[in-house]
Amino acid sequence: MHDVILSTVSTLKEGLLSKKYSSVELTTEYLDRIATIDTSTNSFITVCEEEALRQAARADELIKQGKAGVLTGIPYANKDIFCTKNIRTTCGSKMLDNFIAPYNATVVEKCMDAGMVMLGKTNMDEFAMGSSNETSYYGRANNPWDLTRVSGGSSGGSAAAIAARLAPLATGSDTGGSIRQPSAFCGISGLKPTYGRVSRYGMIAFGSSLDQGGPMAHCVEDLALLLSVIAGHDHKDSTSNKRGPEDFSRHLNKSIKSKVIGIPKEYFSNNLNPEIQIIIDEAIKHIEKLGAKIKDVSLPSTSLVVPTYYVLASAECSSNMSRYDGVRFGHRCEDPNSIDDLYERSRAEGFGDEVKRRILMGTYALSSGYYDAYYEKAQKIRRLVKNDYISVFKDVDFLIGPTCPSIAFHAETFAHDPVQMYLSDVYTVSANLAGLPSLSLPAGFTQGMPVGMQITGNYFKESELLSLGHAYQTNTDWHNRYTTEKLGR
Amino acid sequence: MSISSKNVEEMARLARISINSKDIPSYCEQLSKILNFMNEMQSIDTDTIEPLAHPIEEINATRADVVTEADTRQNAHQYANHMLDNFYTVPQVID
Repeated sequence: MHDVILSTVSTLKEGLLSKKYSSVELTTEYLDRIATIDTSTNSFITVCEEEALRQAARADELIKQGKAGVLTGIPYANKDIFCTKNIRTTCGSKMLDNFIAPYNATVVEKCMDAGMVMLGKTNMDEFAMGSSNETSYYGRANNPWDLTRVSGGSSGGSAAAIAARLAPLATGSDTGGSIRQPSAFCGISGLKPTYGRVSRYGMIAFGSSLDQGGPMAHCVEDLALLLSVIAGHDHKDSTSNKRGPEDFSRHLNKSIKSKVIGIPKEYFSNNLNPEIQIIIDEAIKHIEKLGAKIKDVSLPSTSLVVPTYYVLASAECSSNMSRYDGVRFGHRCEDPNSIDDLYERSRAEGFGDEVKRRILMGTYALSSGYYDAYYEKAQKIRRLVKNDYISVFKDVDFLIGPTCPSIAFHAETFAHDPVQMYLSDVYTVSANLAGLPSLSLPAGFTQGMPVGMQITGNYFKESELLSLGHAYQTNTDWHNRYTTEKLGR
Repeated sequence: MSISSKNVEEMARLARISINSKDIPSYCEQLSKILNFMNEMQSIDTDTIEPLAHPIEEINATRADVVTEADTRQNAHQYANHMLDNFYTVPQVID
């Protein structure tokens, strides 16, 4: 049974269909691992043992009746930003410590309809605001490759759970890199789809024009399976794209010969760790050997993307966070003496430092007298960022660079310097500003820690992006490295 | 440019977050650093550029204004902290 944790989802599926093991047995194996290992990684906020075993028994019944879909009976970990009916959804915040949503997020509903088994809700930076998982009210998820380092953020719990083999699949959300950066830090594969591809209904909002849910897994083949389940139009999300369901596994083996890969010169500046540069250069050469053409390109607005992103994300955050008022749900302060006291103390007690900083900065950027200089200015630069991509995608099919400028850093490295932490998002935020799909894959190791390569594609070109990633993983084995020995199993 | 304690107090008032006066100096320091970083945006001229509010410009699908779900009031109310006869309760607002 122990070998299953190293298997791809297709192999797990074969095991279920050939009755080598049942979904209940498979689920029990993962729940046992979580009970043993997650005391070190802290990747789950809530483990749903009873519900998972119930869902697994239901999946076994479907398999027996010959009604199994592709992911029926396969366990997954769900980022605690996706609302789950009858199971608490904290979003990593004291504000929602006792919050039980009255409905399921569309992503959760789709996973349930597919017969998947939810093992639990994973750790994350508070309200998805952070790049290290350290802003979580529940303590950070540690990096399974080195527990003294961060797992990244905000979907650090999902990334750590996959890397520690506590789940074969996980959901994540990405507002400025929150799927890709923890994927890079933990040595797993993660995809931020095109904005609008995956429904945002029931995914707790942070920056509504930037937020996008997506899959996290060991390999691209598994990402394609989960994306096929969670993507598609949803009438409950007014910004959901009209495209219907798609089978993203269908074109995985499509040749990448003659595809043109752009290498943005701005991504290889002095700020990039030289060891990472060597690894990414090597990965690019590898992809060239597979038949792709390499072309140097420029994204001139790169130096402005991080400040622009933080103005827009903070502004949208300050607006979205206004719903937490202590009245209808969430944390409420004791004995308020006025309505303003109720709002002000409930919010002061319920939100952590980083969320408060962003609300205050966002309020500043939107306030009278500063709106033009900050919020509108950032929206104009956002147009330039999008134009950069439109222009470059006339000549190339994909863009490749590092996912992050460094490997996973040690905990508390940026505890007193939020700006330095923000700068670690330099390569990821522009795909959110422009709304493009972007993938992070393991491409090597330095100092015993994984390094991520980022591949960005044109709008709605997830299939092509995944086929390039799959071609790379078919010819390399970075995605097969695992850490379980370090974790004592 | 820097964020003054008056700025912090005003933003906290607008955002309805109470802030302990002993924390104001550290907010001033951190938010000033963030503001200076954001000011890097001022290095380019964007006078002729149209703002972009949303990455995919075909947005905001609407539907007919008809009830499609059963009354979910009880469902939404069950996790509220303070309720009285189906109403949320708050401190007295009107004298």
